[in-house]
Amino acid sequence: MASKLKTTLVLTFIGLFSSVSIWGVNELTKDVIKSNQAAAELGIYQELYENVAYIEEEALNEDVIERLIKIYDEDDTQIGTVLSGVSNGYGGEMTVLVAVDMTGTIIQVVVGENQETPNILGGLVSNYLPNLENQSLSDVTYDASTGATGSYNAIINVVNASRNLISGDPFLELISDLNIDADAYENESLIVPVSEMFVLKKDGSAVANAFTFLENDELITVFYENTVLIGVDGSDVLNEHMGEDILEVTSEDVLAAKILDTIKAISATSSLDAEFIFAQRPYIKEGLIVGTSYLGASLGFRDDNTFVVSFLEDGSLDLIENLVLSDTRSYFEDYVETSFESLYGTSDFSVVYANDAFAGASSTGASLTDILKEASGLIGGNDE
Amino acid sequence: MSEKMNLFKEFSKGIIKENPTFVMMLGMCPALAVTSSLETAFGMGLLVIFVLTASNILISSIRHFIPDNVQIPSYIVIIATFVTIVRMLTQAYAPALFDSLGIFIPLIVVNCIILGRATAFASKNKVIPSALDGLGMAIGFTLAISLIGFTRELFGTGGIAYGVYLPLGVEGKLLDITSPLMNIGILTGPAGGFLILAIWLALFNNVKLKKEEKLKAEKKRLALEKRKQKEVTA
Repeated sequence: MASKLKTTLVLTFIGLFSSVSIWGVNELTKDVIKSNQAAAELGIYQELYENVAYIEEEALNEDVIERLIKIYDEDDTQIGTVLSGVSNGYGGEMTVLVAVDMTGTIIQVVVGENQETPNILGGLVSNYLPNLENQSLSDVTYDASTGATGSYNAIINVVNASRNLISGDPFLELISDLNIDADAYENESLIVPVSEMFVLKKDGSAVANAFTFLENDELITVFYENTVLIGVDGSDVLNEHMGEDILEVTSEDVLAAKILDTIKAISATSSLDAEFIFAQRPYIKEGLIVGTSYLGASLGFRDDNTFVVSFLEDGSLDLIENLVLSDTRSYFEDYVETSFESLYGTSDFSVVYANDAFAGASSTGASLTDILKEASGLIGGNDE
Repeated sequence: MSEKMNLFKEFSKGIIKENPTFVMMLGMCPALAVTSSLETAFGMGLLVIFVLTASNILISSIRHFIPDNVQIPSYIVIIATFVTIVRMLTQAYAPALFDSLGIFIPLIVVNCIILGRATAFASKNKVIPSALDGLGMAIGFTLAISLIGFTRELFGTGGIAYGVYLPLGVEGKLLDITSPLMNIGILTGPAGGFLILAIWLALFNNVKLKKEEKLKAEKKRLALEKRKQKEVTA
């Protein structure tokens, strides 16, 4: 009994000594370790971007993308975004970082923690990942044959999820964070008199919208994507983002809240729970609400393609805009887009209903067909 | 005086005579894995000096209280405590060394030199001799792996860098030799660890064998002289 007590006491003493020592050293070092880790992470971003001063990290509640890191320079200007996602590779979960600059161009795709076969992954990283660099995230194309399907698919999955999340917009703000009031556009008091509206396209894809109005005799231009304010006036950064000079106007005298309300009002996206159409908003042309636009996504050849189909009040199709294209752009532009453009002005979509191969027997065409069929049913022009 | 001599013996035996790496062939894992550069090897040596000395002191101080049946678990917990402490300190104050040594820091817990000295020496001796034994053995280990690291880095890269892994505040190159003989890339790789360890072991054994041969020859000569003297007196 005495020996058991002795053993217990000795082990208790050793346990206590260990706990107290480790706790003490932990208290002493934890802050230093934390700052070291932050500095190390900053070092990684400093290799990717020039003049990195600090980062802002946001944990996301998404399926694939877990963290969003905004990179800032010394002037507090955001210079890039890194999206960190986890997807299943050949050997298990794989962390992939997608670094994009403010023009939405991929700077680098980095493979982090993984359980892949080192030799195969090494070949993939050195031979195929550089091909993703300098591509626009919204139009990224992948190598067809890499020899490491499982690993490459995981990378594609994270890159696609990044693209879907920010829709090629590195000024990112999540639409869901805005709590849009679907009925706001009906309140006229929120709407400023809009002079002109633009759809801003980059490489043929709509990337953002803009409208202008007069405020104290100055022309103000507001850029937005869906209901998210990108910026005001034609700043250099915005021009770079759009890839071309848009407008050169300056004004400090803008009421941001008023503009944001206007954006919400004129874009007034409200969600729809249909099979393909997930949102609708007023279709505005030359400053006037002239119909309804439907936003829909459907599976194309590689992944979901997202389109906006806009109808005039008489139910006729007026515009098809592509927001996100997963498939080959040249095929879409040469065959699918031209075919569907022939429907502009019509409210009779029987040809689409009658022939699923209307835009060529392709998955790209089928994705747009899905959206158009459903949208035309919703607008009341046609029902299958 | 003789007590002082004994203490000095306890301290110095681990440095050359009973060097853990080159003579006792203990702690081979870090000797191969973290010796691609002098600085990482020396850094690992410093950590082992702290853990081995501290664990020997504590184990020796409480040696009369630890029951025989829980000796090994107790030693492991004590060693693991010091390793955890050293791990946190390295991560905080020498992050480059921490990243470079990686898994080999926690693996100090199962380094056979440390557990070996705890069971073979500290559990049977007083605090001061145990501390000196631990310190001497750890210094011997540090010198051995630093020697391997020095050779690998010098012949593998043509120079000896400093301030890269240890927080010295300055960074530079101690030696910078441009020669094809000093740029043997394989030496900084895993195979280089085995190669250089083998060369140093061969050199140590060569010296040891020559000493033994000399001793044998001396004994033989003395025996022969003794026999001759006997024959003369007879």
